[in-house]
Amino acid sequence: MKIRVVHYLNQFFAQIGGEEKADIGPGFKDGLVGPSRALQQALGDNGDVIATIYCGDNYFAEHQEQAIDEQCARIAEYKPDLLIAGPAFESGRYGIACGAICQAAQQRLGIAAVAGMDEDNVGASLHRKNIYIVNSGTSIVRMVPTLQRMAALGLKLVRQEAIGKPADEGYLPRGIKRNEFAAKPPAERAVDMLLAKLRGDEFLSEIAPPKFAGGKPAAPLRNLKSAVIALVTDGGLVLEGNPDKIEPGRPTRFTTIPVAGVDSLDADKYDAVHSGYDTAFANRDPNRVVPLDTMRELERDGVIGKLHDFVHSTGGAHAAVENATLIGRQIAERLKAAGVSGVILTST
Amino acid sequence: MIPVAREVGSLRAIASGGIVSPTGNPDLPPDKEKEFRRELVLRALQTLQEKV
Amino acid sequence: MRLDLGYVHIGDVRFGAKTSIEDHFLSLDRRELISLLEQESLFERVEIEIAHPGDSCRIIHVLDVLEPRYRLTGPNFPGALDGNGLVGDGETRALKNVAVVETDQLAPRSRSIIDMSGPARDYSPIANTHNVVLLPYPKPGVDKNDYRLAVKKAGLKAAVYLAAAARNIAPDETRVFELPPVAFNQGPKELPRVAYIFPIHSHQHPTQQKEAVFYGSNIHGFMPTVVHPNEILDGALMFSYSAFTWFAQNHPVILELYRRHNRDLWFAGIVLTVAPVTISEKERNAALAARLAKETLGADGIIATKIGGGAVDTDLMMIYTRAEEMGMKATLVIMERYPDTGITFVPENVNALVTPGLTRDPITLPSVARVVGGETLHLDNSNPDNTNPDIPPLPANREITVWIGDLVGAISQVGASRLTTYMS
Repeated sequence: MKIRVVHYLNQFFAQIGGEEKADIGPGFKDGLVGPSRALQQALGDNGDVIATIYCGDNYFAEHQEQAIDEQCARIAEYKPDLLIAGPAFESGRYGIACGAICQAAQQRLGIAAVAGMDEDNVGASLHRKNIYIVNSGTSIVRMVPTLQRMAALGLKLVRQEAIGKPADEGYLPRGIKRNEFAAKPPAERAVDMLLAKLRGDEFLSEIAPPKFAGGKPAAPLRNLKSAVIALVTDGGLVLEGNPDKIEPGRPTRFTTIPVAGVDSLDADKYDAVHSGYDTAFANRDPNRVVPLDTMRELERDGVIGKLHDFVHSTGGAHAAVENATLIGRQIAERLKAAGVSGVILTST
Repeated sequence: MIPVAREVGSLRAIASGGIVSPTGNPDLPPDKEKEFRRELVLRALQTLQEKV
Repeated sequence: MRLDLGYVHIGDVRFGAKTSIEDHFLSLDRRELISLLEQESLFERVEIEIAHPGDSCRIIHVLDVLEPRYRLTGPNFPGALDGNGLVGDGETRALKNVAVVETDQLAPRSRSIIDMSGPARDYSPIANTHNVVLLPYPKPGVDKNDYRLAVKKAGLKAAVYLAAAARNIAPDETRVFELPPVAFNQGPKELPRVAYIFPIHSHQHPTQQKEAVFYGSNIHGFMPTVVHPNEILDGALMFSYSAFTWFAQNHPVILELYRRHNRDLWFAGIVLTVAPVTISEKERNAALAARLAKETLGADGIIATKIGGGAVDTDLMMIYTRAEEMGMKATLVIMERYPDTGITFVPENVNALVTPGLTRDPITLPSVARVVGGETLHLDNSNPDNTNPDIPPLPANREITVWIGDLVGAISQVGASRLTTYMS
């Protein structure tokens, strides 16, 4: 069955004009224009490019929300099976537009979408996790082979066929690991790898080091005696009964425990919920996970100005990096708003 | 988990009392355990005041 | 020291009047085995079921899995089942294609599953064995931890009971495991000496006082030590959690090093260690384990595997770093848990990692005709990542979407799997 395809281009590739036309608003051309001819060739008998839609790169950049709404409305009118956007190569504004429109088409309209751009395009870093982006490289010379890859991948998506690996299909890895059956079992591969290493031969490690976007450390705390210090934990401290239903693993949220007027954490008023360690010791004396008794003493002794009235807590077992980052940010925002200047975070 | 903390960019990290009791030591009698906890917390507060 | 492991191949297992093996057919006297297991005072009663490869059957709440083994000169699982003694020498009978599967009737949140048919079968050897499933029902009010230890002991009893039926039967296949003492034989100079550093437990979940992990010991305060690899293969080790004992008896790294011994490497031996809970003890154990590999076993290179949670990535990286500082080359086998990063962290100096697979990779299993081991699963079928304690129980016979890591035997931390991973 022939599928219906809409092609999104910027003002340049839609042959409206160059940079001087980058402010132009959304428009469309029925039929084929510029690269959409090559897209039609790539689709062959499998599909028809029923329309080419476009928008100026500056217009998109300056009216992003509106531009997305406009493009989605236009796309919806055509009722396509597939949206192809770009390829944008190195052009950042164009790349961002392609990524955003594909993502919106996918999420709002349920339409299969494939974008194309260079792997270092800022649009790729923003959208590669959510949509398939075929790597076009930087050179326009790659237009036709890129559109061929985009068409092939788009067809698979529409037909709900299994999508192969990034290297095979030409898309940018989206950052989701999968299993596959291996020719040799892991123990054999480990011995092979070790022997290669001993011989001084080349080998390829199977797990890439995870990269974390760490923040800059804060400046040293001045004047501890007047500072408000907060306690935070990933040990899963909760009120007895876990009323906020903090998960024992893979946390998606945190809880806020009021401690104003509390001098020590009583075993019968608090629990520890965490699948990654034996919580028996923590349950018998929760001060072993969150040192509230000590902090209260230090507050009384004038070592710190004040102990913040709330303990923020979540369970750190197998936290997805994204969730952990979000939880951390949310807690930090609350503490900052409350005038906290230092945090002791206890980790199991 | 200090190596992990450093790896993700959290540079102010000091050794805890262990995975199952980060600010405690169940092997100690209660009064000694409280001393242990106080020393640990004071060291943490000291670290907050240091440049990293 | 030499171990002759004689496998009797079993083609089918059915309940029968007497427990016996004839023409590769194991007949199992259900009453007799039940009586044996019901001797445990913590059990109200015990049921036994058999699941065959290809059955539309799902076994749930799996606690541990064992290969039936019987040492002709004893003792069997010394310290854990039989009295004290040593293993790893002499003759041992094993039943091939049979597994003893223990279920925990006090673990409703367990997601360990064996599907005897469907897509799960491709992943695990345990989906392809005739599984003798133990269902020990606890007496009311029993302590959960004591009960768990009793179930593990019941598994050992059953494993020995079944394999004892082969004691007078000539094996179909005998595998010989022989390594001389290190002092007497260093092997030819051109063969690299490879040692295996083997963490057997992580104390982030401390063992119970009466728990039998290594030769019956609860391994509290366990220090790195050298043992003969045959002892692991022959019943000295029961994993507390995080791995199934089947993969100690059939340890993939030990078997691979034996397979290539005196061919492209010389198997220098193994070092057992544990992952403790403080950073300074982790550092001590890592250094000492590496030292034993280097100065006692004379290793040129080491392989190390992991056990336990994310915390133990730290121990592994330390073992690697200390090993390489001492002049050995190192390669690690680390199971991946996270679809975004794989594992917790990889320091810059670590460049040789092998993955036995990613646990949090979804797989949809079809509905089944029969469920053994319980009735419901604690699972959010729309999102296997949901660990909310309030998830309502799901009937286990349905079509379900679980993690590949939930499939018993699909991905073992000690390196057993048929998998590798890629970034999609």
